[in-house]
Amino acid sequence: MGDFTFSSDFWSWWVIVLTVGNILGCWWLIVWTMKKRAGEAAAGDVTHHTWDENLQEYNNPLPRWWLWLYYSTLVFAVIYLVLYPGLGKFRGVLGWTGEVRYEKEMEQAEARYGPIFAQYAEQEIPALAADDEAVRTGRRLFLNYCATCHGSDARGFPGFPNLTDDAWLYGGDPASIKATILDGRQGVMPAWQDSLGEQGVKEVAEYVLQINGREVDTELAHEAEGSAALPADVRGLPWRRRHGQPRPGRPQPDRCCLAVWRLAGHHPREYRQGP
Amino acid sequence: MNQTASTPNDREVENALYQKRKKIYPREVHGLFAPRCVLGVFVLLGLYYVIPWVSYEGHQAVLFDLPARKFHIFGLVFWPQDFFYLAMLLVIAALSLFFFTALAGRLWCGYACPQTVWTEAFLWMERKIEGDRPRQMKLDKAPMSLRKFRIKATKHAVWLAFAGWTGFTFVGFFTPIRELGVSLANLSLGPWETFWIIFYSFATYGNAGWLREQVCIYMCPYARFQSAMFDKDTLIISYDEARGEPRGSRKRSDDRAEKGLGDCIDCTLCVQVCPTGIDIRNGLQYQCIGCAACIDACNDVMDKMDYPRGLIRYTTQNRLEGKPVHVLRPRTLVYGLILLALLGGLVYAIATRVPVDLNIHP
Amino acid sequence: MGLVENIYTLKLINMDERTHAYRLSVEGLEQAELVFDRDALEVPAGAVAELLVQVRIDPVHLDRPSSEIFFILEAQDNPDIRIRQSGRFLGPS
Repeated sequence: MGDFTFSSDFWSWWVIVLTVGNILGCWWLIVWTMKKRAGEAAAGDVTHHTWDENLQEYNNPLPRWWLWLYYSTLVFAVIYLVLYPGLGKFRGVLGWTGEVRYEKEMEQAEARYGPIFAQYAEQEIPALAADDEAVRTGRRLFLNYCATCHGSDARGFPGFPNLTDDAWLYGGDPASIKATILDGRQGVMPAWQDSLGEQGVKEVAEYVLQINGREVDTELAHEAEGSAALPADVRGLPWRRRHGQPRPGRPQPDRCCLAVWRLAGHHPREYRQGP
Repeated sequence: MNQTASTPNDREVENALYQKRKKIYPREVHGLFAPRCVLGVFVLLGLYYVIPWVSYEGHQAVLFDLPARKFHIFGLVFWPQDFFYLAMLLVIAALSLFFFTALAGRLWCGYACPQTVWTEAFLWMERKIEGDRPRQMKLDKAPMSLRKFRIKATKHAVWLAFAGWTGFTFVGFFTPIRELGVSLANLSLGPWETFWIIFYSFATYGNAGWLREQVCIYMCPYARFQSAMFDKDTLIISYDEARGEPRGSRKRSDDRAEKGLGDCIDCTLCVQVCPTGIDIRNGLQYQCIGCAACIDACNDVMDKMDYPRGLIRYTTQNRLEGKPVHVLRPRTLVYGLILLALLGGLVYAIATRVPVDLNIHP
Repeated sequence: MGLVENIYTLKLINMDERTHAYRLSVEGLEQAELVFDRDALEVPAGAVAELLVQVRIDPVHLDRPSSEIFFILEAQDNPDIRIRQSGRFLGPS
């Protein structure tokens, strides 16, 4: 306890005084109660108090080995407080702290799992995919971290892609997937409400449904195709060209497979539930 | 009234709250109940020491495999999902305690309790090594000598060896005992096995060798709530005061009616054989563990005096007062029925257990 | 297309001392279809098997947002080894 000031170490001393005081108090109590008092009933006789008309208590002595038990608890307390933290800021002779214990456990975990992960880090991803144990580890990690959004079967959920199909928004090769997981992706769909207006949005929605082979109001869809609401450079062109070439982050609007429709379509007929 | 024996000396007056323990030397007893006690010791200890060595279909019959979370009991395997059965078993154990106690008092304590059983075994070893009660008392009073040291050392060595075997057997319920034995022989026991073997050996040695009746008198809760579980129809061990008093010694040929004496000749043998050191003539006490040693001792004396047996006997408070006795009464009936129902339920549940479990997430 | 689907992760524990092959079925919702990738469910003695299943139904057959369904697991070699657990199937609200 180097820098000691009254105000900052007050609570430390509070604890020390109370703890030591308690131990000394227990000691005193044991010794004080040992002595015989005047007027006390003799050992083996009944005491002078009667409860409920006829209930009386014998003044029988306690076994002396209890006394040694009491003393040994006090000795244990003193030894403990010398070795371990308990007296205020005093850290104990053994210097035990929760942080040190945590660090030791981390070291042990590192020693145990470190080599395994290091080994995996060196391998190529396709090789890892063939390693049963690595796949099982990956599956447990997936269930822990990814399944809440992508589903426990990885088939996705509104707003979170299906990872089991081959529609890769950002690339399906191992390196791209790794980058996606490491750094994350931000998908941004621009808002068209202001430029297209409500009618325009309806028309475009019907058009998108139509090119997916779904049942639509053909008039609305046709309007979208040649709509004046669309910017000049795409007017008259199939609207899809904007989403035309597969580019990172731009879903193909004509993919009709249910699994690709993350945002439940204009007419939510599909429903997915479950983690 | 508790026996405080001699007048407290000065030191004891000063430490009036505490009393040095007086060692109890239970005198050896023979009779009707003593052999039953011995039988109980043999059967229970026999089961304890032998069962871990029994095999069933290639593995240990009774094995509580904690790391694998499976309890094997012969053909049954209990998983953590079956914990309910253990809870039921404990409830049944508690209820049977209440039932048997209401019926026949401290049956458990006197005949089946591990503390009693192991203490009896240790007392027997002590008797074989140090001699009978008078010799033991004489040896303890004598100053330390080579002979005394040798005798005491032998006794403690035998006690420790028996305790060691007990601790080893205990751990053998949790780790396959044959492997454990091999590890022990090669001194290659794991740290936890070593710890627990030493712990249970020490506990056995301490409880059965040193503490003995102190456990019953000061540590065991059963003694303390017996008054809540007994009633006037509970079978207890009692001294027939009406018949025995006034007590006093007399010659065998004397007519006791003439002398104004009861059947009790005040030989104090009932006190000498008592493992908890009480005088049963003082009435029902919490320290009495119901071992019936005093019954046997007194009957022996009654035989020698040509008096009828049973001055100290199993009886009920009602019977002593001359009132009619009811074995079947609400308390015993209710306990008994519930016990039967639960026992039946447990057996049925285990018998119809399906060895498969399905958990659905979400 | 257009079906409502719920995914379940089932954990199957074979508490017996022998390997068993099991059969899984679903009941409580007619027209419900149980889909899982394995056709043979063989679990060794004392082992825990994890199974990912999907239950699909046309929403027209659902009369309430949450329905109770039952999964029935039965050992193929011993019909006495049978367990029926309840779960919930959630549809569009």
